[in-house]
This record gives sequence, structure tokens and C-alpha cells, in this order.
Amino acid sequence: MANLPLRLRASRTTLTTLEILVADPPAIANLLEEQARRAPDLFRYMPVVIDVTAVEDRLAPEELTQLIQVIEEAGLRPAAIHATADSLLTAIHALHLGQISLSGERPAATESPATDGAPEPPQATPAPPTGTGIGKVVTQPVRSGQQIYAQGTDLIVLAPVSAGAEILADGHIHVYGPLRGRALAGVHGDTRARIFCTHLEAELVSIAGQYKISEDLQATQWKQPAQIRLDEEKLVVAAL
Amino acid sequence: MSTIITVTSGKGGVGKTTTSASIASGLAKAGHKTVVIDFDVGLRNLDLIMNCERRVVYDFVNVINNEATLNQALIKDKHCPDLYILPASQTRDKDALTKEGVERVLNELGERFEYIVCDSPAGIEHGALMALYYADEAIVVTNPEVSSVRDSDRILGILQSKSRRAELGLDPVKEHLLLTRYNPERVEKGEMLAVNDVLDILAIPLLGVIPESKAVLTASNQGVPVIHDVESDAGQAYEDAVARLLGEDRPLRFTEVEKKGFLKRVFGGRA
Repeated sequence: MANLPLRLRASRTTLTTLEILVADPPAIANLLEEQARRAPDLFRYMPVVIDVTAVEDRLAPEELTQLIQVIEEAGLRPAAIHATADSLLTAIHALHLGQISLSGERPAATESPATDGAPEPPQATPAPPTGTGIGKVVTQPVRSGQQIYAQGTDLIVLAPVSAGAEILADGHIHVYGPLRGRALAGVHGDTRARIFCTHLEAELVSIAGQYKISEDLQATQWKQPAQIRLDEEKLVVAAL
Repeated sequence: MSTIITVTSGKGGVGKTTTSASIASGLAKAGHKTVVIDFDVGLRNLDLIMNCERRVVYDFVNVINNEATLNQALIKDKHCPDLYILPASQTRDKDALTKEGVERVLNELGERFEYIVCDSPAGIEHGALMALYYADEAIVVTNPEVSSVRDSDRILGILQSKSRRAELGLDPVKEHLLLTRYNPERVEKGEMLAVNDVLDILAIPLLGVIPESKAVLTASNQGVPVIHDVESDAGQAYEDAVARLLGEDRPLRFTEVEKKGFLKRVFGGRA
């Protein structure tokens, strides 16, 4: 038994979930394209779970196929679909994707892997990005034209971030050095994310999509230690 | 083991070729066997600065394509017995530089020379990438103005991500900042960035500051690298930079506005 070529192991992997709120493939394609233009490396080959539970009652199988197509064209790699409606099952299988249900109920599929009565492995529940992992630490200067993304975690930079450079994180961003480039925290929509820096001189700061450009940052803490957080959809710059 | 030094900047016209010629000449003057390669295929200039344009028969691309041997292509410098020049091709384009070809030529040169100075073309495209790919050290030539500093920053990022040393996870390329066309009077008037402003942004060690000088243009037109003009401030500043490159500790010169003496104050600056 010891030399089996594989083994089954229950594991827990954090995946980003794309929640479909309106089943409108062209609109979704536009939105993804715009995001990909702003941060070209962000989406490239990123595995995602597509959650269609909000729209599945009205979603035709061919619409689902179309939806997956535009998501793949944006560079993302759908790994599984979160759906509970039986009507979509054939389409999901035809797309060679897995089906999962995040609320813990068994998938409607009958051919689920036999586990010989063993307890069901925990479902891959996407945890909120902030707080997972110990953060990505960068010690080299981030130069103009470079882009660094801390996926699913915080980003800590111990060197200058030059004008024309871009740093992104799903969690918080800390910069111990001049921040002269662009810093985008909570890029997957976590409004709790914050930006901390010892020398604020940024071209742009953004939290969960709310941004301010350097012109609007001059008033408070410019070239000084600062923290930036989101307070009811408004970016607040304060002394550190 | 030879050391490959790439002279680069991102931006054009900041003094890469002038610097390559003077640094290579300085290393050779100090007794090190040195070769300087022109990577600017299609826009050959180094041969003019080194005054050997009438002796170019075969070039770098011929050697890469096995159309000539290194011995046929290398040109001996007129001023320094330890210096050779490998000119670029004027009739080809930069795609003629292949990674394998460049590596073969550099390896062959490495058996004969202590220092290989690579004069990079401007830009961040193929030619510039080939010039920096095999670098052990890089001299980043920057003018004291914002666009040049921004482009230098970009090239520093590329050095630390796309060079052979970065790709193989070896010790990073050793970076040196060389500030050229520095004019202390204009810095004082706020028309130019000061040394410290540039250092603050680029955050790499300073190899030297070359003052803006008429001697540089004269030297270029005469085909004598300005480091041979030992009377000129620019020549002396390059001399200092070479000494620092070889590990010597020398104080900075030509970065302060010259104090006018008593006679000059009485009779005006032109006396």
C-alpha cells in the first residue's frame, strides 16, 4: 500500500470567488477588461470559483457557458462553479468544471467520489483575504514599471516604491520607505484594508476601488507618515 | 575571471557612449586588459568617440554569425595598449544579437580580458536587454532631470528582474550611479536636480558626478575619450569614477559652485 502513486487528502485552499450578481455577460466582460487593463498581471491565470447562486434561478445553461467564456477571456481560470440548481449541472459538466456548494450541502451530482463512508472532507470555503497568510515581504526597491501583487494577503515593502511602480494587495499595504508610486489595498473589495506608509508621496492610493490621486493627497500628511483607510466609502488620510 | 560592466540608462543622449569610452580607457590606463563592445547595432557611435571608424572591417554581428573571428574584429586602441574595441554593425538591426551568440562572444572575450565594458543602446527593448543580460555590474548614467531619473529607475528594475543574475538567483547585479552633465550653478538656481535628490529617488551607490563641460564635446569630435584630457574637470571626474570602480575611496569634486576669488569679484566673472 505504501507505494501507491497518489493519495486522497482533505485540504483547504483559499480561492477567490467571483460572485455573479447580474447575469449580463457583455457587461461583465467590459468590467473585467477594464480591471485587466488597470492591473494586467492581476487576473492572469488566477484560479477562481464562480458563484452563480444569486442568479441561478434565471440563468439558462447556454448563458452560463457564455459567462465562463468571457471570464476565461479576461485571463482568469475558473476552477469550479458554485451552484445548486440541477438545471445547470449538464452545462457545468460540459465545461469540464467542478461543482461545489458552499453552504455545506452535498453537490447534486450523483457521481461524487466514493469515500467509503469516511467523513466528508471540508468544503473549500474561500476565506476573506485579509488575515490569511503572513503577508508578502519585499526588501528590494520597487522600480518604475514594476508591479507587485500580494494575493490573498498583506504586502510589506521595506524599500522605496518609485514613481511609475504599482503595488497591490488583497489585504493591507505597509511601506517603510518613500511611497511614490501607486498603492492599491483591498483590491478584491475588502473595505477593511488600509495603507500605512512612512513617507506619503504616492501617485495614487486606493482601497477596495475607492481612490485618490496625488493632487488630492497634498493637503494632509504629504511627504509624512500616514495611514489611509476607508470610512463609509470615503478615503481618509490620517497621521500615523 | 572577467567582470562584465554594462553602461546603461534607458534614456538616450545622457552620455552612455562617452562614459563607456572613458571608463574603458581609464581601466586600461590603470593597467587592466579591457575590451569595450558597442551594442548599439545600427547606430554605431563608439568607433567615432574612440576615433577608430576608419579601421572597422568586421564587427560584433560578424563574430556572432561566425563570419569573422574575434581577432579579425577587435580593434586595438591608439592611446592605451591594454584596450580593444569591438564595434557594432551599422547595416544590421538589433535582432542580429542573439542570447546564445552574445554569450559565446562574451565567454571568448572573458578568456583574454579582465574587464568587458558593454555600451548599451538607449531604450528597454531587445538591444538594451542583450547588453545588460550578462552584466556583473551596471553603471547607470543619469542626467540631473526628472525624465532621465525616471528612465534610470525603470532600467534598474529591469536589471534586477531580467538579467541573467536575476533569472538564476545569483548575487544581484552591482549597481553604480553616474550623474553626468551636472551643473552646480543651475542646481543652485533650482533648474536641475541636486545629487542628493537623485540619490534619494534611485537609492543606489554613487560612482561619480561628471560636470557639464565643453571638454566632453571637444573630446567627442576629436575622437579622444575625455578621460585623456587630464586638464579638464570632466576628464578628472571620470578618472575619479574609475578609481572608485576599482575600489579606491575618493571625495566628490565639481559638485559645488566655485567660490569666486577676490580678483574675480572685483573684475567680474570673465576676468
